[in-house]
Amino acid sequence: MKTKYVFIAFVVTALLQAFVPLKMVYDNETTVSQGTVFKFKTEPIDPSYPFRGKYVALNFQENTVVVKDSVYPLGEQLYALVANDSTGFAVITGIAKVRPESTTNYIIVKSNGCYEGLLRLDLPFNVFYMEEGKAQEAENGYRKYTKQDTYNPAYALVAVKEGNAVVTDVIIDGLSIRKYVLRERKE
Amino acid sequence: MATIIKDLPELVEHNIISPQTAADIEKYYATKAQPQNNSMLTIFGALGGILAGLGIILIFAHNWDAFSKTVKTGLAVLPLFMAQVLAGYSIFKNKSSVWKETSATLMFFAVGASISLVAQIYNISGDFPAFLMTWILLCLPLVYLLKSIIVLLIFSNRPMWTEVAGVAANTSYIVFWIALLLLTAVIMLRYKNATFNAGITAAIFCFPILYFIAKTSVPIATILTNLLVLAISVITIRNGIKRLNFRTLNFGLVVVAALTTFRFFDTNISFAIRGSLFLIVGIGFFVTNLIVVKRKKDTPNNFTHEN
Repeated sequence: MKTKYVFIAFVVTALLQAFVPLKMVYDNETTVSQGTVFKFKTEPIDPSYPFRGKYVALNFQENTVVVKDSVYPLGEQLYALVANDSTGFAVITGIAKVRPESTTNYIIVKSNGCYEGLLRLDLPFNVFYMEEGKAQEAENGYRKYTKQDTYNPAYALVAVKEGNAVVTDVIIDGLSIRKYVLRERKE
Repeated sequence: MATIIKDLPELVEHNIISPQTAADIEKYYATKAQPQNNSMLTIFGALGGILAGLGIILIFAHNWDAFSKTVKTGLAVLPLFMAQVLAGYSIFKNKSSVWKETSATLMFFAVGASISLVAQIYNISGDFPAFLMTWILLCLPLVYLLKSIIVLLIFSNRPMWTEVAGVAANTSYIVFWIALLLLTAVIMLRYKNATFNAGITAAIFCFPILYFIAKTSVPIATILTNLLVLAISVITIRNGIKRLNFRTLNFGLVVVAALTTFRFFDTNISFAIRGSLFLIVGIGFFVTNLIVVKRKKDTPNNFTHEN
Protein backbone atom coordinates (compact mmCIF):
# COMPACT_ATOMS: atom_id res chain seq x y z
CA MET A 1 0.00 0.00 0.00
CA LYS A 2 1.23 3.49 -0.74
CA THR A 3 2.92 5.25 2.14
CA LYS A 4 0.64 8.24 1.62
CA TYR A 5 -2.54 6.25 2.26
CA VAL A 6 -0.99 4.39 5.20
CA PHE A 7 0.01 7.74 6.67
CA ILE A 8 -3.48 9.21 6.23
CA ALA A 9 -5.02 6.12 7.84
CA PHE A 10 -2.50 6.45 10.64
CA VAL A 11 -3.40 10.09 11.28
CA VAL A 12 -7.09 9.12 11.49
CA THR A 13 -6.22 6.34 13.97
CA ALA A 14 -4.06 8.71 16.03
CA LEU A 15 -6.87 11.29 16.16
CA LEU A 16 -9.35 8.64 17.34
CA GLN A 17 -6.87 7.47 19.96
CA ALA A 18 -6.47 11.01 21.26
CA PHE A 19 -10.21 11.70 21.02
CA VAL A 20 -11.22 9.00 23.52
CA PRO A 21 -9.28 10.28 26.58
CA LEU A 22 -9.81 13.94 25.64
CA LYS A 23 -13.58 13.43 25.33
CA MET A 24 -13.55 11.83 28.78
CA VAL A 25 -11.71 14.88 30.13
CA TYR A 26 -14.14 17.29 28.43
CA ASP A 27 -17.30 15.50 29.64
CA ASN A 28 -16.13 15.19 33.21
CA GLU A 29 -14.69 18.69 33.36
CA THR A 30 -18.08 20.05 32.19
CA THR A 31 -19.82 18.08 34.95
CA VAL A 32 -17.38 19.32 37.60
CA SER A 33 -17.57 22.99 36.55
CA GLN A 34 -21.27 23.27 35.67
CA GLY A 35 -22.92 20.47 37.65
CA THR A 36 -24.62 20.60 41.05
CA VAL A 37 -22.57 19.21 43.94
CA PHE A 38 -24.30 16.70 46.23
CA LYS A 39 -23.08 15.10 49.45
CA PHE A 40 -23.48 11.32 49.35
CA LYS A 41 -23.05 9.54 52.70
CA THR A 42 -20.44 6.81 52.33
CA GLU A 43 -18.05 4.38 53.98
CA PRO A 44 -14.56 4.21 52.51
CA ILE A 45 -13.23 0.67 52.05
CA ASP A 46 -9.99 -0.30 50.32
CA PRO A 47 -9.52 -3.13 47.87
CA SER A 48 -6.75 -3.09 45.25
CA TYR A 49 -7.42 -3.06 41.61
CA PRO A 50 -4.92 -4.81 39.36
CA PHE A 51 -4.98 -2.26 36.54
CA ARG A 52 -5.42 1.14 38.10
CA GLY A 53 -3.40 1.27 41.28
CA LYS A 54 -4.91 2.04 44.63
CA TYR A 55 -8.31 3.49 45.29
CA VAL A 56 -10.88 3.79 47.98
CA ALA A 57 -14.07 1.92 47.13
CA LEU A 58 -17.02 3.97 48.27
CA ASN A 59 -19.92 2.13 49.80
CA PHE A 60 -22.87 4.49 49.45
CA GLN A 61 -25.78 4.28 51.84
CA GLU A 62 -28.13 5.97 49.41
CA ASN A 63 -28.35 3.29 46.76
CA THR A 64 -31.94 2.14 47.02
CA VAL A 65 -35.26 3.67 46.04
CA VAL A 66 -38.85 2.64 46.80
CA VAL A 67 -40.78 1.81 43.64
CA LYS A 68 -44.41 0.89 43.03
CA ASP A 69 -43.93 -1.38 40.02
CA SER A 70 -41.14 -3.97 39.98
CA VAL A 71 -40.30 -4.38 36.31
CA TYR A 72 -36.61 -3.44 36.53
CA PRO A 73 -34.51 -6.22 35.00
CA LEU A 74 -30.97 -6.61 36.36
CA GLY A 75 -28.55 -4.29 34.54
CA GLU A 76 -31.24 -2.09 32.97
CA GLN A 77 -30.14 1.53 32.43
CA LEU A 78 -32.20 3.97 34.50
CA TYR A 79 -32.19 7.65 35.46
CA ALA A 80 -32.03 8.39 39.19
CA LEU A 81 -33.30 11.83 40.27
CA VAL A 82 -31.18 13.39 42.99
CA ALA A 83 -32.08 16.05 45.57
CA ASN A 84 -30.96 17.17 49.04
CA ASP A 85 -32.84 16.08 52.19
CA SER A 86 -33.41 18.30 55.24
CA THR A 87 -29.92 17.49 56.65
CA GLY A 88 -28.19 18.53 53.43
CA PHE A 89 -27.32 15.04 52.21
CA ALA A 90 -28.24 13.60 48.82
CA VAL A 91 -31.24 11.35 48.40
CA ILE A 92 -32.62 9.59 45.37
CA THR A 93 -36.12 10.98 44.99
CA GLY A 94 -37.30 9.02 42.00
CA ILE A 95 -36.43 6.76 39.14
CA ALA A 96 -37.16 7.18 35.43
CA LYS A 97 -36.78 4.91 32.44
CA VAL A 98 -36.44 7.83 30.00
CA ARG A 99 -34.12 10.84 30.26
CA PRO A 100 -35.78 13.51 32.46
CA GLU A 101 -36.44 16.84 30.70
CA SER A 102 -37.34 19.04 33.69
CA THR A 103 -34.04 18.85 35.61
CA THR A 104 -30.30 18.31 35.11
CA ASN A 105 -29.88 16.71 38.55
CA TYR A 106 -30.05 13.07 37.60
CA ILE A 107 -27.55 10.21 37.34
CA ILE A 108 -27.46 7.35 34.85
CA VAL A 109 -27.54 4.18 36.98
CA LYS A 110 -28.07 0.47 36.50
CA SER A 111 -30.68 -1.69 38.17
CA ASN A 112 -29.20 -4.09 40.68
CA GLY A 113 -32.42 -5.99 41.23
CA CYS A 114 -35.80 -5.19 42.71
CA TYR A 115 -37.18 -6.92 45.81
CA GLU A 116 -40.51 -6.20 47.52
CA GLY A 117 -40.81 -2.69 46.13
CA LEU A 118 -37.22 -1.73 46.95
CA LEU A 119 -35.03 -1.16 43.89
CA ARG A 120 -31.26 -1.50 44.41
CA LEU A 121 -29.09 0.70 42.18
CA ASP A 122 -25.56 0.39 40.85
CA LEU A 123 -24.16 3.90 41.15
CA PRO A 124 -21.64 4.73 38.39
CA PHE A 125 -19.28 6.43 40.85
CA ASN A 126 -17.94 4.10 43.51
CA VAL A 127 -14.22 4.71 43.55
CA PHE A 128 -11.92 7.47 44.71
CA TYR A 129 -8.30 7.11 43.63
CA MET A 130 -5.51 7.94 46.03
CA GLU A 131 -1.76 7.76 46.03
CA GLU A 132 -0.57 4.22 46.65
CA GLY A 133 -0.42 3.52 50.37
CA LYS A 134 -2.79 6.30 51.40
CA ALA A 135 -5.90 4.27 50.50
CA GLN A 136 -5.25 1.66 53.21
CA GLU A 137 -4.40 4.40 55.72
CA ALA A 138 -7.65 6.18 54.85
CA GLU A 139 -9.66 3.06 55.59
CA ASN A 140 -7.83 2.41 58.87
CA GLY A 141 -8.27 6.05 59.87
CA TYR A 142 -11.95 5.88 59.09
CA ARG A 143 -12.41 2.73 61.20
CA LYS A 144 -10.73 4.47 64.14
CA TYR A 145 -12.87 7.55 63.59
CA THR A 146 -16.14 5.59 63.62
CA LYS A 147 -15.24 3.94 66.95
CA GLN A 148 -15.84 7.28 68.67
CA ASP A 149 -19.15 7.73 70.49
CA THR A 150 -20.35 10.52 68.26
CA TYR A 151 -19.07 11.35 64.82
CA ASN A 152 -20.25 13.10 61.70
CA PRO A 153 -20.94 10.82 58.74
CA ALA A 154 -18.29 10.64 56.02
CA TYR A 155 -19.48 11.74 52.62
CA ALA A 156 -18.40 12.06 49.01
CA LEU A 157 -18.77 15.30 47.08
CA VAL A 158 -20.35 14.33 43.78
CA ALA A 159 -20.84 16.77 40.90
CA VAL A 160 -23.96 15.84 38.92
CA LYS A 161 -25.04 17.08 35.51
CA GLU A 162 -27.38 15.47 32.98
CA GLY A 163 -26.68 11.87 33.89
CA ASN A 164 -22.94 12.16 34.43
CA ALA A 165 -21.51 12.13 37.97
CA VAL A 166 -17.95 12.81 39.13
CA VAL A 167 -16.64 12.26 42.67
CA THR A 168 -14.52 15.32 43.43
CA ASP A 169 -13.57 14.58 47.03
CA VAL A 170 -14.32 12.43 50.07
CA ILE A 171 -14.79 14.21 53.39
CA ILE A 172 -14.09 12.59 56.76
CA ASP A 173 -14.47 14.64 59.97
CA GLY A 174 -14.84 17.81 57.93
CA LEU A 175 -11.52 17.25 56.15
CA SER A 176 -10.64 16.14 52.62
CA ILE A 177 -9.63 12.45 52.81
CA ARG A 178 -6.08 13.27 51.62
CA LYS A 179 -5.63 15.85 54.38
CA TYR A 180 -7.30 13.50 56.85
CA VAL A 181 -4.68 10.81 56.15
CA LEU A 182 -1.86 13.35 56.59
CA ARG A 183 -3.36 14.53 59.90
CA GLU A 184 -3.61 10.90 61.09
CA ARG A 185 0.06 10.36 60.21
CA LYS A 186 1.11 13.29 62.39
CA GLU A 187 -0.88 12.10 65.39
CA MET B 1 40.79 -5.94 12.21
CA ALA B 2 42.90 -3.78 14.51
CA THR B 3 46.03 -5.83 13.75
CA ILE B 4 45.54 -5.43 10.00
CA ILE B 5 45.37 -1.66 10.34
CA LYS B 6 48.41 -1.71 12.62
CA ASP B 7 50.33 -3.74 10.04
CA LEU B 8 49.41 -1.46 7.12
CA PRO B 9 52.47 0.90 7.34
CA GLU B 10 54.78 -2.13 7.48
CA LEU B 11 53.11 -3.70 4.43
CA VAL B 12 53.38 -0.44 2.50
CA GLU B 13 57.03 -0.06 3.52
CA HIS B 14 57.89 -3.49 2.15
CA ASN B 15 56.00 -2.80 -1.08
CA ILE B 16 53.52 -5.61 -0.41
CA ILE B 17 50.61 -3.24 -0.98
CA SER B 18 50.44 0.24 -2.47
CA PRO B 19 49.75 3.32 -0.27
CA GLN B 20 46.45 3.65 -2.14
CA THR B 21 45.43 0.08 -1.17
CA ALA B 22 46.40 0.79 2.45
CA ALA B 23 44.22 3.88 2.42
CA ASP B 24 41.37 1.89 0.85
CA ILE B 25 41.65 -0.84 3.48
CA GLU B 26 41.65 1.74 6.25
CA LYS B 27 38.62 3.44 4.70
CA TYR B 28 36.80 0.11 4.32
CA TYR B 29 37.20 -0.78 7.99
CA ALA B 30 36.32 2.73 9.06
CA THR B 31 32.97 2.60 7.22
CA LYS B 32 32.37 -0.97 8.32
CA ALA B 33 32.99 -0.16 11.96
CA GLN B 34 30.58 2.77 11.88
CA PRO B 35 27.24 0.89 12.01
CA GLN B 36 28.53 -1.34 14.80
CA ASN B 37 29.27 1.68 16.92
CA ASN B 38 25.85 3.06 16.06
CA SER B 39 24.07 -0.12 17.10
CA MET B 40 25.93 -0.15 20.41
CA LEU B 41 24.99 3.47 20.87
CA THR B 42 21.35 2.61 20.10
CA ILE B 43 21.33 -0.24 22.61
CA PHE B 44 22.88 1.85 25.38
CA GLY B 45 20.71 4.80 24.42
CA ALA B 46 17.61 2.63 24.73
CA LEU B 47 18.76 1.21 28.06
CA GLY B 48 19.50 4.70 29.35
CA GLY B 49 16.12 5.85 28.09
CA ILE B 50 14.34 3.00 29.88
CA LEU B 51 16.13 3.71 33.16
CA ALA B 52 15.52 7.45 32.95
CA GLY B 53 11.87 6.82 32.02
CA LEU B 54 11.37 4.52 35.00
CA GLY B 55 12.96 7.12 37.24
CA ILE B 56 10.63 9.83 35.92
CA ILE B 57 7.59 7.55 36.43
CA LEU B 58 8.64 6.93 40.03
CA ILE B 59 9.08 10.64 40.74
CA PHE B 60 5.70 11.46 39.19
CA ALA B 61 3.99 8.59 41.02
CA HIS B 62 5.37 9.74 44.35
CA ASN B 63 4.07 13.29 43.92
CA TRP B 64 0.92 12.39 41.98
CA ASP B 65 -1.53 13.74 44.59
CA ALA B 66 0.26 17.09 44.65
CA PHE B 67 -0.29 17.81 40.94
CA SER B 68 -3.20 19.84 39.66
CA LYS B 69 -5.79 18.14 37.46
CA THR B 70 -4.43 19.93 34.37
CA VAL B 71 -0.87 18.69 34.98
CA LYS B 72 -2.16 15.16 35.63
CA THR B 73 -4.21 15.17 32.42
CA GLY B 74 -1.22 16.50 30.47
CA LEU B 75 0.98 13.74 31.85
CA ALA B 76 -1.70 11.16 31.02
CA VAL B 77 -1.85 12.03 27.32
CA LEU B 78 1.80 13.08 26.77
CA PRO B 79 3.16 9.52 26.29
CA LEU B 80 0.38 8.90 23.76
CA PHE B 81 1.28 11.97 21.71
CA MET B 82 4.98 11.12 21.87
CA ALA B 83 4.37 7.54 20.71
CA GLN B 84 2.10 8.82 17.94
CA VAL B 85 4.76 11.25 16.67
CA LEU B 86 7.33 8.44 16.71
CA ALA B 87 5.01 6.06 14.85
CA GLY B 88 4.00 8.75 12.35
CA TYR B 89 7.66 9.47 11.68
CA SER B 90 8.35 5.73 11.16
CA ILE B 91 5.59 5.52 8.57
CA PHE B 92 6.36 8.83 6.86
CA LYS B 93 10.07 8.10 6.52
CA ASN B 94 9.37 4.40 5.87
CA LYS B 95 11.73 3.38 8.66
CA SER B 96 12.81 -0.21 9.39
CA SER B 97 10.52 -2.76 11.01
CA VAL B 98 12.37 -2.24 14.31
CA TRP B 99 11.20 1.39 14.38
CA LYS B 100 7.66 0.44 13.46
CA GLU B 101 7.44 -2.41 15.97
CA THR B 102 8.84 -0.27 18.78
CA SER B 103 6.58 2.68 18.14
CA ALA B 104 3.51 0.43 17.68
CA THR B 105 4.19 -1.27 21.01
CA LEU B 106 4.73 2.08 22.73
CA MET B 107 1.51 3.38 21.21
CA PHE B 108 -0.43 0.32 22.31
CA PHE B 109 0.53 0.83 25.94
CA ALA B 110 0.21 4.62 25.76
CA VAL B 111 -3.43 4.32 24.60
CA GLY B 112 -4.29 2.01 27.52
CA ALA B 113 -2.38 4.20 29.96
CA SER B 114 -4.00 7.46 28.83
CA ILE B 115 -7.54 6.09 29.18
CA SER B 116 -6.74 4.47 32.55
CA LEU B 117 -5.10 7.61 33.90
CA VAL B 118 -7.91 9.94 32.81
CA ALA B 119 -10.38 7.49 34.39
CA GLN B 120 -8.29 7.68 37.55
CA ILE B 121 -8.08 11.48 37.58
CA TYR B 122 -11.88 11.78 37.40
CA ASN B 123 -12.53 8.74 39.64
CA ILE B 124 -14.42 6.91 36.92
CA SER B 125 -14.99 3.31 37.96
CA GLY B 126 -15.98 2.29 34.45
CA ASP B 127 -16.40 -1.26 33.37
CA PHE B 128 -13.35 -3.28 32.59
CA PRO B 129 -14.50 -5.27 29.52
CA ALA B 130 -15.69 -2.07 27.83
CA PHE B 131 -12.33 -0.43 28.59
CA LEU B 132 -10.45 -3.39 27.08
CA MET B 133 -12.72 -3.37 24.04
CA THR B 134 -12.10 0.34 23.43
CA TRP B 135 -8.39 -0.25 23.86
CA ILE B 136 -8.35 -3.14 21.36
CA LEU B 137 -10.42 -1.26 18.78
CA LEU B 138 -8.21 1.82 19.01
CA CYS B 139 -5.04 -0.26 18.61
CA LEU B 140 -6.12 -2.85 16.07
CA PRO B 141 -5.25 -0.52 13.13
CA LEU B 142 -1.63 -0.54 14.35
CA VAL B 143 -1.35 -4.16 13.24
CA TYR B 144 -2.28 -3.04 9.70
CA LEU B 145 -0.51 0.31 9.54
CA LEU B 146 2.73 -0.48 11.32
CA LYS B 147 2.62 -4.20 10.46
CA SER B 148 3.19 -4.85 14.13
CA ILE B 149 3.54 -8.49 15.13
CA ILE B 150 4.10 -7.51 18.77
CA VAL B 151 0.65 -5.88 19.03
CA LEU B 152 -0.81 -8.98 17.39
CA LEU B 153 1.05 -11.04 19.98
CA ILE B 154 -0.53 -9.04 22.79
CA PHE B 155 -3.94 -9.76 21.28
CA SER B 156 -3.21 -13.50 21.51
CA ASN B 157 -3.84 -13.56 25.25
CA ARG B 158 -6.72 -15.53 26.63
CA PRO B 159 -7.83 -12.89 29.21
CA MET B 160 -8.14 -10.44 26.33
CA TRP B 161 -10.50 -12.75 24.45
CA THR B 162 -12.47 -13.57 27.58
CA GLU B 163 -13.10 -9.88 28.19
CA VAL B 164 -13.90 -9.18 24.55
CA ALA B 165 -16.41 -12.04 24.50
CA GLY B 166 -17.89 -10.47 27.63
CA VAL B 167 -19.00 -7.37 25.73
CA ALA B 168 -20.05 -9.34 22.67
CA ALA B 169 -23.65 -8.84 23.70
CA ASN B 170 -23.34 -5.21 22.66
CA THR B 171 -24.51 -5.28 19.04
CA SER B 172 -22.92 -1.97 18.03
CA TYR B 173 -19.49 -3.59 18.28
CA ILE B 174 -20.53 -6.41 15.97
CA VAL B 175 -21.36 -3.83 13.31
CA PHE B 176 -17.81 -2.51 13.63
CA TRP B 177 -16.28 -5.96 13.21
CA ILE B 178 -18.36 -6.69 10.13
CA ALA B 179 -17.23 -3.37 8.65
CA LEU B 180 -13.64 -4.31 9.46
CA LEU B 181 -14.07 -7.68 7.76
CA LEU B 182 -15.42 -6.04 4.59
CA LEU B 183 -12.68 -3.40 4.60
CA THR B 184 -10.00 -6.06 4.93
CA ALA B 185 -11.50 -8.04 2.06
CA VAL B 186 -11.43 -4.91 -0.11
CA ILE B 187 -7.81 -4.14 0.84
CA MET B 188 -6.77 -7.72 0.14
CA LEU B 189 -8.37 -7.73 -3.30
CA ARG B 190 -7.16 -4.26 -4.21
CA TYR B 191 -3.55 -4.75 -3.14
CA LYS B 192 -3.22 -8.42 -3.96
CA ASN B 193 0.23 -8.01 -5.48
CA ALA B 194 1.51 -5.15 -3.37
CA THR B 195 4.41 -5.43 -0.95
CA PHE B 196 1.99 -5.43 1.98
CA ASN B 197 3.09 -8.19 4.35
CA ALA B 198 0.96 -11.16 3.36
CA GLY B 199 1.12 -12.84 6.76
CA ILE B 200 -0.15 -9.79 8.59
CA THR B 201 -2.93 -9.21 6.07
CA ALA B 202 -4.07 -12.78 6.48
CA ALA B 203 -3.95 -12.36 10.25
CA ILE B 204 -6.03 -9.21 10.12
CA PHE B 205 -8.54 -10.94 7.94
CA CYS B 206 -8.79 -13.69 10.52
CA PHE B 207 -9.43 -11.31 13.40
CA PRO B 208 -13.13 -10.59 12.88
CA ILE B 209 -13.64 -14.31 12.27
CA LEU B 210 -11.84 -15.08 15.52
CA TYR B 211 -14.07 -12.60 17.27
CA PHE B 212 -17.18 -14.47 16.19
CA ILE B 213 -15.56 -17.74 17.27
CA ALA B 214 -14.76 -16.17 20.65
CA LYS B 215 -18.45 -15.51 21.11
CA THR B 216 -19.15 -19.23 21.13
CA SER B 217 -15.88 -20.58 22.50
CA VAL B 218 -13.16 -18.46 24.09
CA PRO B 219 -10.59 -21.33 24.34
CA ILE B 220 -10.86 -22.14 20.63
CA ALA B 221 -10.44 -18.45 19.69
CA THR B 222 -7.40 -18.24 21.98
CA ILE B 223 -5.80 -21.36 20.53
CA LEU B 224 -6.43 -20.15 16.96
CA THR B 225 -4.94 -16.70 17.70
CA ASN B 226 -1.86 -18.34 19.15
CA LEU B 227 -1.49 -20.63 16.15
CA LEU B 228 -1.84 -17.57 13.91
CA VAL B 229 0.98 -15.71 15.67
CA LEU B 230 3.07 -18.88 15.63
CA ALA B 231 2.49 -19.31 11.88
CA ILE B 232 3.52 -15.72 11.19
CA SER B 233 6.69 -16.04 13.25
CA VAL B 234 7.58 -19.33 11.54
CA ILE B 235 7.16 -17.59 8.15
CA THR B 236 9.39 -14.76 9.43
CA ILE B 237 12.02 -17.27 10.59
CA ARG B 238 11.90 -19.03 7.23
CA ASN B 239 12.34 -15.71 5.42
CA GLY B 240 15.28 -14.92 7.69
CA ILE B 241 16.99 -18.20 6.83
CA LYS B 242 16.18 -17.84 3.14
CA ARG B 243 17.53 -14.30 2.88
CA LEU B 244 20.42 -14.96 5.28
CA ASN B 245 19.22 -12.06 7.38
CA PHE B 246 19.91 -12.29 11.11
CA ARG B 247 17.54 -9.50 11.99
CA THR B 248 14.51 -11.08 10.36
CA LEU B 249 15.46 -14.48 11.74
CA ASN B 250 15.93 -13.32 15.31
CA PHE B 251 12.81 -11.18 15.21
CA GLY B 252 10.78 -14.28 14.32
CA LEU B 253 12.50 -16.17 17.10
CA VAL B 254 11.85 -13.42 19.64
CA VAL B 255 8.14 -13.53 18.76
CA VAL B 256 8.09 -17.31 19.28
CA ALA B 257 9.94 -16.87 22.58
CA ALA B 258 7.51 -14.16 23.71
CA LEU B 259 4.56 -16.34 22.75
CA THR B 260 6.03 -19.21 24.78
CA THR B 261 6.65 -16.88 27.73
CA PHE B 262 3.06 -15.63 27.66
CA ARG B 263 1.77 -19.19 27.68
CA PHE B 264 4.09 -19.89 30.59
CA PHE B 265 2.08 -17.45 32.68
CA ASP B 266 -1.52 -17.99 31.70
CA THR B 267 -2.20 -21.60 30.83
CA ASN B 268 -2.58 -24.78 32.79
CA ILE B 269 -0.09 -26.77 30.76
CA SER B 270 2.02 -29.20 32.81
CA PHE B 271 5.53 -28.20 33.86
CA ALA B 272 7.09 -30.95 31.72
CA ILE B 273 5.47 -29.66 28.53
CA ARG B 274 6.26 -26.04 29.34
CA GLY B 275 9.86 -26.96 30.15
CA SER B 276 10.20 -28.81 26.85
CA LEU B 277 8.68 -25.88 24.98
CA PHE B 278 11.24 -23.48 26.42
CA LEU B 279 14.02 -25.94 25.64
CA ILE B 280 12.84 -26.33 22.05
CA VAL B 281 12.63 -22.56 21.56
CA GLY B 282 16.11 -22.12 23.09
CA ILE B 283 17.63 -24.80 20.86
CA GLY B 284 15.72 -23.30 17.91
CA PHE B 285 17.44 -19.95 18.52
CA PHE B 286 20.84 -21.61 18.51
CA VAL B 287 20.31 -23.96 15.57
CA THR B 288 18.67 -21.47 13.19
CA ASN B 289 21.35 -18.85 13.86
CA LEU B 290 23.99 -21.52 13.25
CA ILE B 291 22.36 -22.44 9.93
CA VAL B 292 22.42 -18.82 8.79
CA VAL B 293 26.05 -18.36 9.89
CA LYS B 294 27.06 -21.48 7.94
CA ARG B 295 25.12 -20.49 4.85
CA LYS B 296 26.58 -17.00 4.93
CA LYS B 297 30.07 -18.51 5.06
CA ASP B 298 29.29 -20.78 2.12
CA THR B 299 27.96 -17.92 0.01
CA PRO B 300 30.45 -15.06 0.48
CA ASN B 301 29.04 -13.17 -2.49
CA ASN B 302 25.63 -13.00 -0.93
CA PHE B 303 26.91 -10.77 1.84
CA THR B 304 24.17 -8.63 3.32
CA HIS B 305 25.39 -6.15 5.82
CA GLU B 306 23.07 -6.14 8.82
CA ASN B 307 23.70 -4.31 12.02
